[in-house]
Amino acid sequence: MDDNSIIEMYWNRDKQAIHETDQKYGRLCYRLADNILKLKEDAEECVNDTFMKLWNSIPDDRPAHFSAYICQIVKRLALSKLRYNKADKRAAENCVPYEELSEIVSGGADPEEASIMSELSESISEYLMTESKQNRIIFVRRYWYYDSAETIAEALNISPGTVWSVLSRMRKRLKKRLKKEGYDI
Amino acid sequence: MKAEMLDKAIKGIRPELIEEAALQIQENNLSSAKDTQRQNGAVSGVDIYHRPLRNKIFAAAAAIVLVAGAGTGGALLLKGMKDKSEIAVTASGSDEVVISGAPFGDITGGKVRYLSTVYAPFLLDSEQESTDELAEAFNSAVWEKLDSNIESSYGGRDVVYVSSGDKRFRLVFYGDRTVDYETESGIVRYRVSENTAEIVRSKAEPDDKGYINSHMIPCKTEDLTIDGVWKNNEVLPDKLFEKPGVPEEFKDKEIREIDPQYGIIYDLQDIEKDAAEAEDIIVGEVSSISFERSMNIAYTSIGITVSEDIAGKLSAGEQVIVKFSGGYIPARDKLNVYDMTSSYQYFDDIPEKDIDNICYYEKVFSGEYPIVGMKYAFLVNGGDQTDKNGGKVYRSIGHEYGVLYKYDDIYVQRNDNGLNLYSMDELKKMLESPSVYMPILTQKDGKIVEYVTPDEKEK
Repeated sequence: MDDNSIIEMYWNRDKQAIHETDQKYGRLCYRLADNILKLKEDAEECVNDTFMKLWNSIPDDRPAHFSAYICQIVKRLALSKLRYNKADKRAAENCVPYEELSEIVSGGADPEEASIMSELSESISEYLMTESKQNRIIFVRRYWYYDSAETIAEALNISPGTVWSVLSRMRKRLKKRLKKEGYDI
Repeated sequence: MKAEMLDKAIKGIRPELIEEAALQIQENNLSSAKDTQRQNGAVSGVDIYHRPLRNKIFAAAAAIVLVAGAGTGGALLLKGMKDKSEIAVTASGSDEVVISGAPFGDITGGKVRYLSTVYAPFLLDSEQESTDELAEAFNSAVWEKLDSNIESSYGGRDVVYVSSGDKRFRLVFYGDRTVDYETESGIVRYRVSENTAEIVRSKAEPDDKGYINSHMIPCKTEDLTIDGVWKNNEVLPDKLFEKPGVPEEFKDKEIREIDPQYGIIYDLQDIEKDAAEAEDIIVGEVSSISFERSMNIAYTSIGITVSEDIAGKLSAGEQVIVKFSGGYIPARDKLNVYDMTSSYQYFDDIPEKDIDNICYYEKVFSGEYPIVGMKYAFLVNGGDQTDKNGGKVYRSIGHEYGVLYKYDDIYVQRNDNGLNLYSMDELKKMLESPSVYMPILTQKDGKIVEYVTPDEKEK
């Protein structure tokens, strides 16, 4: 079923919408939640919470990119659950490849204004749009979905070494670009 | 800036980028049996936890009832839902019966062959690992039993033939996710999830791997039955034709590939037209490949040990030659003729000092020829001349399209549309069809002119 039809079902308060969402995006959501939580039961719970959240939020929203909208909810809930589980705000370090990301930043001041963060997100997006589709997917799967290099390599039928190499080059290019744009990274 | 902030910024990238990766993950996930188990929420002895989604929704409903002060009513609703979710066969909201686990039993360790409209009537032989993944997906799937009298509005898409233990059956998957489970005793109709249907589709139509010959089993249309598909077990060889290796005499030369432009007056890929032009079909094993030239034309001679001759002129075991256009030819032999017509540089600008170090490979169509040691049927004309060893010499009709790989009693023709299967009876009928054209290679002033029809020749 296409996304618009599913969204329409949410608007009509048709419970089948949940079923259709689960059919279409359940595994994607589970994968993302599992990447973060590393615990099947928690990941399952997170996916179910996501569907509940969707059920409650969609009458107000008509997301243009439904899968991204769902994944954003999963990610938010999973990270929140992870922090709650570990009672530690830094628990996300277990799943987020901070070490790799730290190659891009160099300890400058964190931007406090939300607008700057938003601009930074847009700059990263613009940078990604200059890369090939495969490179974009590698980057987003690694740093947005937190997939391992091995998983990405298997998915794209390339070697993990190639994934690491692509990521390394992309980090360098991103760093250069952000510096050029004047970010205090 | 700290890495955490950058992570936050990455979180906010454009949704289309997130969606692009999501689509790729979705495609990739289809083959993941682990995820499938989770998705379908069934139990197959593997430790996969799944809290049924409906429980969650109704848990919310139950909570509302409790808040409203209805006492234990909500709790009972939740309890009831939980109990029902754990039994294998349940009555859903409609009259449909929902079955967790494959209704035909576990096919792990069994054999599976696929038939898809994409490559029918070939069967795609499943590797054991892939079969077991499929079995896992089937075991995990929820099979909604449907009324068999209701016709699917979609055409049959993929067929899964199964031979497991003493059971043989087939599953016909339709575009609307309905599945016909067919045994000798009848048909039972089910509906499965999109994920399960997609897993079948991805295995039956492996567009990432292509249709690898080493997994394809030719099957006659009349044998596409529950038992018939298991008659043959030999898969097609990886290659039905190949480019011949460089002959010893040219091994130290520079090989340049050229594509001679012959005038072709009918579609050689059409086996019916080829057979109509041919006078005979010789079946035999390729024993040798050699290369010759006559004037400036390269020929490839295929030596055949005859096993069958439709015209009845040859006996089994006899050695014959079938000649094909194309092959290796020294540059000097190729260019000399063109020199006479002031076209010496038509192919190449080669200085005299280099000409003897260069050899051409005249690539006609694919440039591939039958492989030594393999059996084929050859559509041919001629046989009135002999080679130095006394073997009859024939001319190939239809070039590579007039050569069919012999698989049991099925003959496989390769053309641009893929592989086509014929029986010898079908080929014989085609052979008897009246000839429309008589392609003849002619030369004028040392140049290949074109193939002409007999009528044109008379003119």
